[in-house]
Amino acid sequence: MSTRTKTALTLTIDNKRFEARKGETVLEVARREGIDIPALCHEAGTAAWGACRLCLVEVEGLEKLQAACTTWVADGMVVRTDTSRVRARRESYLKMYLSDHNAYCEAPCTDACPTHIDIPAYMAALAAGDADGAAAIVRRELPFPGILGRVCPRYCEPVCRRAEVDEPIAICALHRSAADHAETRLVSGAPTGKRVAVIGAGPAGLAAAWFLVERGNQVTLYDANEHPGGLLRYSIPEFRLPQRIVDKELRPLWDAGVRFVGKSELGYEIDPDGLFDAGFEAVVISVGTWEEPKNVLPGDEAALKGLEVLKRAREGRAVTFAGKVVVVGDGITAVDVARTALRKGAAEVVVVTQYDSKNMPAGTRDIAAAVEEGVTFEFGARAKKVIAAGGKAQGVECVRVATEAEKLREIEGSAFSLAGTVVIATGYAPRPGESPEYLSIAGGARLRANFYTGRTRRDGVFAAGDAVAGAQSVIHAVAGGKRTALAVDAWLRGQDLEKLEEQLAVYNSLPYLEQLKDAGQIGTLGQRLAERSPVWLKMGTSAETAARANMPKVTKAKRLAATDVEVEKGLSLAAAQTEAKRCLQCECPSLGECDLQRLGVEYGITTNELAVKGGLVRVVEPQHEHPFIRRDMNRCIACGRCVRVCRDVAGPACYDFTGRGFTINVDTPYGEALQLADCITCGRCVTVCPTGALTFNERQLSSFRVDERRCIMCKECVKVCPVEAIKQTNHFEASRKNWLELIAKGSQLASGHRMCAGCGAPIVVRQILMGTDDPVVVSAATGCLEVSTTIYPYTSWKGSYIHTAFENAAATLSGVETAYRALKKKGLIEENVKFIAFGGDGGTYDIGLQSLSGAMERGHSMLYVCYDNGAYMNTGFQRSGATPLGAWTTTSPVGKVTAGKLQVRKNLTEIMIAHGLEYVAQASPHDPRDLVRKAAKALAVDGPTFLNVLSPCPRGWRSDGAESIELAREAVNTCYWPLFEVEDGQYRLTYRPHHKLPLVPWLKRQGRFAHLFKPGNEHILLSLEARVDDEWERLLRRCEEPSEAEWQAHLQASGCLLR
Amino acid sequence: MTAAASITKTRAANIDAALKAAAMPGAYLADDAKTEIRICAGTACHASGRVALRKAVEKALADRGLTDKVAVVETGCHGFCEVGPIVVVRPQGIFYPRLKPKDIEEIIETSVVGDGVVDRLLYKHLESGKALTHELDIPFYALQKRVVLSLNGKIDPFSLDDYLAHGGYSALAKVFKAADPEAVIGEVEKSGLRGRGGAGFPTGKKWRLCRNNPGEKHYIICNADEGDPGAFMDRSVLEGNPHSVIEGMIIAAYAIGVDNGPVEGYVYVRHEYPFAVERLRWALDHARERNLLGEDILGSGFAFDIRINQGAGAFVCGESTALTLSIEGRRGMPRGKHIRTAAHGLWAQPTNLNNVETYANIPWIINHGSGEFSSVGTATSKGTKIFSLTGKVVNGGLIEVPMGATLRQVIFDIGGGMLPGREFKAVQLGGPSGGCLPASLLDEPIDFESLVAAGSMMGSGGMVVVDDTTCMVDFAKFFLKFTAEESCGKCIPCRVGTSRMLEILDRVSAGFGVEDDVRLLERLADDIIEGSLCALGGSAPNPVLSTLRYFKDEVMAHIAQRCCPAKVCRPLIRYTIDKAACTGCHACFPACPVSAISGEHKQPHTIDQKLCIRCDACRQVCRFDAVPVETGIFALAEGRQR
Repeated sequence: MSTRTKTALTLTIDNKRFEARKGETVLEVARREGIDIPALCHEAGTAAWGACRLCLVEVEGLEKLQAACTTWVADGMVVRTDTSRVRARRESYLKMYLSDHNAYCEAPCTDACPTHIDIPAYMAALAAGDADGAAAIVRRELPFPGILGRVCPRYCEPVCRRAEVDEPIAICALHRSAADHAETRLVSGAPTGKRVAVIGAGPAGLAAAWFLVERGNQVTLYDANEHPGGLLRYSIPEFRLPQRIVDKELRPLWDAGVRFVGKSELGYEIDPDGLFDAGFEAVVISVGTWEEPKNVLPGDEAALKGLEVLKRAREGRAVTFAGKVVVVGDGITAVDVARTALRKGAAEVVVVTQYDSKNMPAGTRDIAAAVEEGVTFEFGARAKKVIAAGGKAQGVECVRVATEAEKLREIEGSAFSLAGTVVIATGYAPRPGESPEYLSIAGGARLRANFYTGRTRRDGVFAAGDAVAGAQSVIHAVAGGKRTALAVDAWLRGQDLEKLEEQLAVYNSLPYLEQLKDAGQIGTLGQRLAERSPVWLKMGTSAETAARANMPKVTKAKRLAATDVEVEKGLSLAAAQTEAKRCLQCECPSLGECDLQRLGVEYGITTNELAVKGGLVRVVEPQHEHPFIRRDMNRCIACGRCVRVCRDVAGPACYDFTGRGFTINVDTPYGEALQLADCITCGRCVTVCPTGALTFNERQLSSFRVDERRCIMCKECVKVCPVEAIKQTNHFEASRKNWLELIAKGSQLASGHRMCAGCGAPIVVRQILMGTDDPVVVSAATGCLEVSTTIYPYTSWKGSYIHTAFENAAATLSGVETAYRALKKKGLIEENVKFIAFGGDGGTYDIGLQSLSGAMERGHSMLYVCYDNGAYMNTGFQRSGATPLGAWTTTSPVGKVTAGKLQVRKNLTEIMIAHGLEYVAQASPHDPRDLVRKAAKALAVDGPTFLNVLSPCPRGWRSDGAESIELAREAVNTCYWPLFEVEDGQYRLTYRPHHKLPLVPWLKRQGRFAHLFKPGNEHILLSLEARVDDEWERLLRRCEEPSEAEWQAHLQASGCLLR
Repeated sequence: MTAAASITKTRAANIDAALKAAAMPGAYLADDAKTEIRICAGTACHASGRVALRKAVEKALADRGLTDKVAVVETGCHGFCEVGPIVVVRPQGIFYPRLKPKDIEEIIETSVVGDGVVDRLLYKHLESGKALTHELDIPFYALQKRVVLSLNGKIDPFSLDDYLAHGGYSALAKVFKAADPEAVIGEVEKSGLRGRGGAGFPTGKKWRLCRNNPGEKHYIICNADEGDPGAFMDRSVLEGNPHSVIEGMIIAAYAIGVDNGPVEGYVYVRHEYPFAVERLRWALDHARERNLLGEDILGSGFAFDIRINQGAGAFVCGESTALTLSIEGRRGMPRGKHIRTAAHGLWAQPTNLNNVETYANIPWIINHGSGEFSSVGTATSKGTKIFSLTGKVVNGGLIEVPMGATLRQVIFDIGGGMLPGREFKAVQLGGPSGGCLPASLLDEPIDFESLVAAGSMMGSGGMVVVDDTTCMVDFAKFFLKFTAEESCGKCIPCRVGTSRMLEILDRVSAGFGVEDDVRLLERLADDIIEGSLCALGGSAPNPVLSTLRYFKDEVMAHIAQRCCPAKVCRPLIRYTIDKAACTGCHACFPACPVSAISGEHKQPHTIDQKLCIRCDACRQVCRFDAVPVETGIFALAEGRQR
């Protein structure tokens, strides 16, 4: 039996029959049945729009293609969605879209850079004039921007999309500038206790060391040479890379504790077995390619060796040339040799290379510099034989080569010879002695190791750099060193590298879009090691032309006069800033989620005859004024989905089209800020946007939470939240105080009291009393506060105050509170009265503890506030239970026998928590909002509550009274005095320092700890620090907060720049 | 006589009486037999000085005490805009073109007071030079067939009585009397009338579709958003005879809406047509006052009213769906045609939308019958069509010809052909949506189908004639630029495609074109035509395509030889001074805006090519023809240097 209803009809889509109902469109049916018809403007739930024209399909019987979104289904209709005709049309429209898409998906420079520096990000930092920030961004991937900024072959620049406007950005020169103008430091990670040996302190080894240290490993670098640097120090000439730069760039390594052992060559002085025996858990071999070539050309034993020449020159040993010099080689070494020869007396220098000027691996920058200095090049010539006489090379026989089908072919009968001193600078390999047997050697020249991880056949032995890949550029070596370091660290932490290598092999063979989709599956390490293969869509671009920064250079005469004058002078910070502003900022926040990109890749729009230089492209100023929604209409394709969904689904109608034709734009009414346009921040516009025009401001979203320290309970957020995500809580009810009102209300403790300047106690009292509007009865245990505020016949207390003769303020107040209840019960008092007891160390920690404990245990409705100043201050600074370990007091003196208090302070807050009180908290006067809020919370409870408040005492602490509040703040930030609260047994940290400060500077500012910095007392200092750290970690656990190590790792991972 | 017949008869008598009552007794009625001075008050004649002319006429009459005896009637457009301002003196019907106020005295004296003709002011036959006295003596008028325009030039557009006196609203009365909406639609169907807005959809069929669609209300819209460059047909009809359009609309409303729920009318007219709006508003007010609009029109029980909606001038708002959105107060953007206006138009109700000329044809069809209408025209295109003939033609103006007339008849016989010494090159029909046709197609009949087959279209009736001084690349660029700018920007082919085509044409006319550009233009045109959401985009590439079809050699000259044969494209031309012809008169000195010309007095001058901006000013002022224009790659090189 057919289940067809009367209204059902049948149609054929792509040779499959489907049932549909009258009134459905072809697109709706196709989508329902899983047939993918591309459509950028269709938005289910809003009326068909029909603008993107990508859903065109063939309908049998109709001459023209029909838009599937605006074609009703009909019985017997035959639809074809994927014919060549349809695809050709879609391709055309995609080209039109992309030709007007004033944006890009990914930055090709970042992809082309072997270390994958986030170039747009550091350009943005540099454009803002932040050289430190820029250098920090570069160093995330490339530790030595100062070095690479001078010697890198710049794979990033030829691909720079700025060339579509005028010229590429001077990317290389800019990270040199960032390094030149920034401080360098290496922050080592939380110690892992693992030791790693790196053999070979060249670029790869140094990079490996850097990233290993950054992850908390201990590294020892071994090198055959006396000094670290490898070819940076022994091959690249001074005029390109001054030694002082190498020293400066490597300095952070030594500062971070990396050890360097020179004159230790692999296979001679050291070998991995020995290193394992010595306690190293992993070995990285990065010995480079130092073996000079043998038998590259017949008769070449008579010729000079290029690296030898460079090394001698670098070490200051005698190198002299005369007459004509012929250098054979294609790489940068050949060019360096040629330029060195010119500086060392050669009259004429010729470089013989098989390549033409554009393809010569040495790179155009250095070739141009060499030509400028007078070096001549024989491009497209292959050296065949060294002509030697009497053991001395006299010249080279050469033959011309031509490129045929991407291969070089010798041209017959084109032989010629060049006379002169011959230097061979080609074909480098690792030294034979440096290859242990288990490192199987491929082709006799390289160490065999996995590309991604550097893992060799032997467990724990890794290899990186030129020794693995063959002689490549410095940047490749750094990239290899980095990859290996990351892999070694992961391996040391127990990650299965073999599995990762397999995953990466699969991942790297995936098509681009799959790679974007699967990025999450290969893990964080996998993503850093993976080599993606982006597709570069050809798009229109529009920017004002601006000339590329010119690298200032030393004059030719000055250069040639000496070997050690650096040719390039570097850009000033201002010039670098101007240059960085030229960056087009290619990367898109919607990468991988953009439908236009997906279709562009699917239809292969890598060439686009509609996107021509100087072609018309819409330029719109990006609008980032809304806190959560970012609008960059340069990426807008005017599909109108946001317009319709905001108007027809969400309701506010924040957007509409403006302009017409090519200049159409989507904007808010009158172009005002989005949040002024009735926006309810529902985010529907962002979720429907098929491109990166509307995106969430992720950073803002993740950081959007109420900072309770600053909350003034004004309730505005509750009122304005359109989706009632913020609700009024008990806390708001209980402490409905507007901060400003509090200030206006003024202090309940009159000035003119006799407390010392800089004393914390009166500040604490004032803030506590701001916690309620109700009448308050106060009692203070005998101590500074009591004696100084109530000197007969005067009193500083504006409200009710009852004297307590000794430390039993809690007991006194329990009696008052009981009397109040009785009177209230009888109806003699109508008001709600609050009871607050203040006590210092004695009144709380020591002799008053019994009284306090009893009052709490009996359940009197009162707040007890301890102003904790760490000793009995009014009686002459005697030690108390609150005095910290090692602190001087008159009864814990500093001398030959003792050095301050011998015992640790007691944790009174925990004792009070153990009473099972409804509310207990620790606070500090430096943060009044927090303190007042806590007081208000405590006073709102009908029952006993307790606050422990830090109260600096300039006399007893031997500190500057003007610094009291700062000292309190620092006490919190060092985690000596954490701010937290406990409600019904639930711990909650009310403030977490972003970066926990060291304790020592805080101690140093207080005279009571001065002796701890004298010899012999270090152990006290250490145990004090340990005590603070332990208590902090314990508290974190109770508050279910991440540990300090996890916290720092989280901050680092999320790129937190707060300090 | 049956009771029903009796009721019908009574009803008919009532309607006749109501129609008679609509006329205001004692109103002045224009009449060919009276002594009248008719001044054309069309936009063109207004621009060439009809206000001053009228003042001069009134003064001359007052001076002679003739103010009460001789009527001065300002009429709608006479059509012969080329020779404005026009005055016709009745009852003789003497046609005086190109008048100046100083000529008026003589005319009044000779032709009004006396019975003579001022020969020197008469229109001269182009070839024979013979003075022609009457309108119909002039080929421009003689060869036309004026149906819709029959009252233009005869009646005062501000006078409802004039219209009534000339049989106005009798068609409406006829329809009311018959009280058979189906019959009205049938008559329109039989007449073969097709929409005059461009697409040529059968009007009767459209009405029937709309009538058959149920809705809370039916809407009758008149599209007067005429926006083609060089088109002024609808404007002239509205300015000259607004009641004919109103009558047509009421008949349409009756045919579609009677017994079908309430019905309401809109005229969507562009803001740039102030005369048309003013006269239409006046006409609507009068019609309402005289029971021709509103409740119970002419006692028929039928209620209908018309509102004016002024558009802001976006070309795309002439597109039916964009137009309805615009009336609704929203952004005028066309939508997919899967939802038909006839079922789901203005305010989502069944809507009938025709253009001005279509409605203006209706009263004539009702009055004269479908048979007489369909006897004119070709097999598929019936009746007459109004064209606005403009460009490099001797007699530009508003003309009405039977469907099937050839282009040659229109351009050469009526239009008088090319200016002296110039050669016909092309005619662009249908505005920016149409195409340009070459001389070889001059004998094509003008009807919907043949024009489309030739790569052009009827459009609303714009006809721009160009001669050999026009560069076809430049000409195509003009129309494409218009559509690219007027695109609403909704769909991608029209939004970006047309701009890219324009970019390529710019490249070609600047001498940077490559051979592949022709293929690219054709492919883009194809993409735009097939994929565009509405007819604006769907027809936008037509001017370029027809140029590539008929004038490919000229396009290729720009690309291959880097020269502009018509010497128009500035980057490809160079102005020099013919030393032999130059007398050193210095006349060109002040004309040059960039002071590029130098030379001693009475010595041959020279032009500094680096400064010259190719503005043509020197050539225009030179009395000795001493500024030849050259074209070629050398000019391009100089241009690049500049």
